[in-house]
Amino acid sequence: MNTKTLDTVKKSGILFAGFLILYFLFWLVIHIGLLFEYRSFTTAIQTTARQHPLFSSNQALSVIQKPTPLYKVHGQALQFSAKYGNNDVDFILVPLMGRYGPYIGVFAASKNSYATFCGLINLPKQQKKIAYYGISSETVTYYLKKISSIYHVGGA
Amino acid sequence: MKKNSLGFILGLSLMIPAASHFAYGIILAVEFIILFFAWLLCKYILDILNIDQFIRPISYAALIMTATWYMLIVKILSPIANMAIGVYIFMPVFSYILALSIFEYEHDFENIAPAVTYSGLLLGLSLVREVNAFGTISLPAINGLFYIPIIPQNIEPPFRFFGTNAGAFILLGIGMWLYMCIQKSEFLPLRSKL
Repeated sequence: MNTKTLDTVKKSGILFAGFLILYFLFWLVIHIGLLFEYRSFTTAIQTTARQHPLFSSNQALSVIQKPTPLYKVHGQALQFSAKYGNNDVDFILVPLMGRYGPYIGVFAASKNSYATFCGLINLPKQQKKIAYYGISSETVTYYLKKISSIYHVGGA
Repeated sequence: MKKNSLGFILGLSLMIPAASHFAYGIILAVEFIILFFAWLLCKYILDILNIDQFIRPISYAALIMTATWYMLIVKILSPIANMAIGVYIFMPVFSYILALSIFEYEHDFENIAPAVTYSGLLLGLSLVREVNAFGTISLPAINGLFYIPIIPQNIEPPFRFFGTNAGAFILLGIGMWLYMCIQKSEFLPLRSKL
């Protein structure tokens, strides 16, 4: 092996090692990031759900932090299991694109029942109807039907 | 690469669906600047290591990695904003504007004006859109976005249409016309000759 080849191997090795270190750091940050992400989402779900008449009573609402992706609904949809009093309920977060940009919708569903739209997360204090934020009722109905069909078939 | 101011402004259309809130504008503008400097850093490291082959694929791999890192940081600092615009975070990596900014830097005495101008335009557009649509200014926060009301919330902002995606394209068109007028130092007609 001549000096030039050795030099090339050395340089490639340094570059590869750099990418490898970044990859491991990347893996670590993903796991830390997930903790923050879930905590933030569970708080947002609780705040939004409490504003809906279905979940406004004094019964305890506890959301299990670790979600599962629900690709059948949307590529980025997340499903959170929760307990409302003694009942099991799932909350599904779906990104919705409206006239005024992207928002995240919270849908509630349970086995063998139709889905309910709870509202949008991340809104200013004085909330208005969803049309004000550019989300059409057709978009919401589309996802309600999609989620309901999954829960009725039992494919969730 | 040819200097193309029209292409420069049109490159903004990539961000139109995302830059609807000032908070999203901040996230994307900061990302653009970080990507620009990540490219320069990558080029510097390749120069030190004296690697003169596969520069472009290595640089693009580094840019994708930077965008992924940035997405993770946004995920930690503002998870809800990340879910809303996460998809768009990868778009600037393949943006023509980024390539143009790097070209200008390398061939025009380390000129960072295109990168800074683009980020400024992005911030400006998102600010105008949000104030027009909702009368608020939002900032990224851990539990979503933090809203600062500019117009009282019981009053509906008068020019809400300019906050929509369609309105943003019209604003962009007006901005482009103004930019051309300033650049050519004359009042250009709004309608082109057929």
